[in-house]
Amino acid sequence: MDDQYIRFSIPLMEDKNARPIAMLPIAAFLSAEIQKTMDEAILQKLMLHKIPVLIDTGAVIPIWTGSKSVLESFGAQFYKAGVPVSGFGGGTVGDAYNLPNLTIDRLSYRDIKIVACAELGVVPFFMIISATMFRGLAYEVDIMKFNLNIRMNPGDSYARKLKVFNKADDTFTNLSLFND
Amino acid sequence: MKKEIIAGNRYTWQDIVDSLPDRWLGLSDITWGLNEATIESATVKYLDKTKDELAQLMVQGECSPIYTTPDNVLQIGALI
Repeated sequence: MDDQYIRFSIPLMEDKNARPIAMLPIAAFLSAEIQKTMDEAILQKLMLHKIPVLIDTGAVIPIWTGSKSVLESFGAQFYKAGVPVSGFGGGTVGDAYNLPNLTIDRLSYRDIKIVACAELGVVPFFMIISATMFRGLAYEVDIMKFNLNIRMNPGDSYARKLKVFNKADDTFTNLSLFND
Repeated sequence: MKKEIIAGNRYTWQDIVDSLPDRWLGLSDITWGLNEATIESATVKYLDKTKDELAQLMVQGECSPIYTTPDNVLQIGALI
């Protein structure tokens, strides 16, 4: 593997086309506090587990599509209620949570905000990974080799910060909670 | 041809998909196929749990939750 890339495998569809659903290590979601209290053997076991997530290059904010209690068990703390979200499928509201520690492969996010929307119907994944999480990096979905590639240039830090800006003045009411 | 899937037994992913479409399952001992996101075979550990119940079991290191036929839920845009 080329060290300047972080690669996530993408599962094949039945017709052999790739879909932008990746499998990520679930240990990524565990907060440092939870990890301290866990048995080392269980932690090692968790590192082997992955969860399906949707990589949405058009998404602005990350979304949790499971229940809030599950998100809280990953160490997330309630942040703000009634956050409006909308997209191709319509609109809804969700509750924003703060995840103290989210690691996706070598990419590490501290205090990342995520909106929990459990009423989205049948969704075959747990989380929507937004394009903004890769802000400042080059990424590509390689349909030929079934990979999501994130390119790390010299000097790029693996410690990332999720920031969502309005193009006009770098502020926006509904997005401001994502910008510390 | 559908195969009877019994919790605790090991099956190919194709057998699982053919027999249990549109279901969340808890898998263990996964053997990956073409890449690290494409399952070749696995032990079906939990057959009758919800998505969130499986997620809680995953936190306890018990299983990997997966939806058998995501291609049946076509994603044409996500709520963001």
